[in-house]
Amino acid sequence: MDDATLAALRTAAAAVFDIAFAAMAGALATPALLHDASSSWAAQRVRRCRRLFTAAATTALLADLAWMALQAMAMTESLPVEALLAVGGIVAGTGFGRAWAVATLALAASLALASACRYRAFPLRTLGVALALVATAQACTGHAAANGIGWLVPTMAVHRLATGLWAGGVFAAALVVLRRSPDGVDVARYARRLSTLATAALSAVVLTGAASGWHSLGGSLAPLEPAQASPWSVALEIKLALVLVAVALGGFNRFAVMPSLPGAWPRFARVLRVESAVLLAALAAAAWLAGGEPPAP
Amino acid sequence: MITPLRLALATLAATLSPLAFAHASLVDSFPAKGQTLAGSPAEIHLTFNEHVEPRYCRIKLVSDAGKNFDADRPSADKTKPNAIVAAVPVLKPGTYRARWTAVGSDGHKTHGDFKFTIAK
Repeated sequence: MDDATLAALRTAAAAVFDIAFAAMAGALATPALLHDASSSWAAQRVRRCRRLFTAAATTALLADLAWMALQAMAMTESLPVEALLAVGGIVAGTGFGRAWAVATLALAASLALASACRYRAFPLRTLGVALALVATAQACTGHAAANGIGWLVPTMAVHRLATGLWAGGVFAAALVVLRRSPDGVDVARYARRLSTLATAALSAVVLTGAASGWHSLGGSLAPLEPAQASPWSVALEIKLALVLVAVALGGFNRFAVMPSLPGAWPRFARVLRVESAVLLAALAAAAWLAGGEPPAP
Repeated sequence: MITPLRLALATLAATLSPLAFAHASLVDSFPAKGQTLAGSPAEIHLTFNEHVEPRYCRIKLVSDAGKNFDADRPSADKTKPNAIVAAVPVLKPGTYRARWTAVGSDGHKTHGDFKFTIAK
């Protein structure tokens, strides 16, 4: 397999991982948003969130393993079997390999714990800590940790978690929570809390993104110049447009639809489904950008 | 100059994938690009803009006649941060293209090449 094909497959694996990680974060946050709801609708939605968490954790783990297999093939320029044998060396010999191993173990532990607690109380806090560990380890697989820039690692970890909470909260709402006629009081309270969570998460995404972007750009904004048109900069523009559309849809729901809840819940759910699709595309574009090569300044 | 509009664009650009801009790229080398040497170099030194994984980097030399020469497996250059060094076989006078592949700290592979000449 040539480098371009491997890079494309790695990007696809990274996109699946990011989307699944967001779904895990959303599936964990949603029961907290419904913690004092008393209706049978809310209880059923919480159970569905558990299933979503388990499915998302399984998907994330498979994507994570596929990503490392492809990575090993690219790094060792060898065939799959030989590359798989080299994974141990990559884990032992590189910083990002060790960070990947920590993230993978934390993911596997989350999945095992969620599966073990299928008929018992879901350990939300423990799973939350495991997700934070995955986010931190993932932050350590990038450039943040490599050049000894200590503040970038926690910044990136918060960025990953906040992105997961924003997108995942919307995914969980669209896929699981707002699928059946809800209890009026509970849905209005849930919508308010979801909106507050999304706003707080988006603020954290923008702040941490600005901080690391400022560092990454190093004072040169040449990749953003129109003259530097390339597939990478086109993908960047597409991603920016998708993020802005998602923010606008969230704002529309908050200010135009939410005051009419619970009566307007079908409309609220429709907007959330569109927002969910837009965020899905934005995460895919983000994975493509992270794996791609920006034009030289 | 960084204007508020550009800063806003950078912020948005960074949202959801803030470290997409950084990839390992060559900032210095010995021999330098286009340099003419009096004799065959014993080693090739490559310096990058960020940490690279020496064990997974490769350097190949191709003569003008199309003959390939593999450099030894690179190791970290202890005299410079973010640099690797690899021993090369004795080269005859002529022009050579050094082709390098580097694996950055995040596992991203980057490629590049440059030419140098060994005087007759």
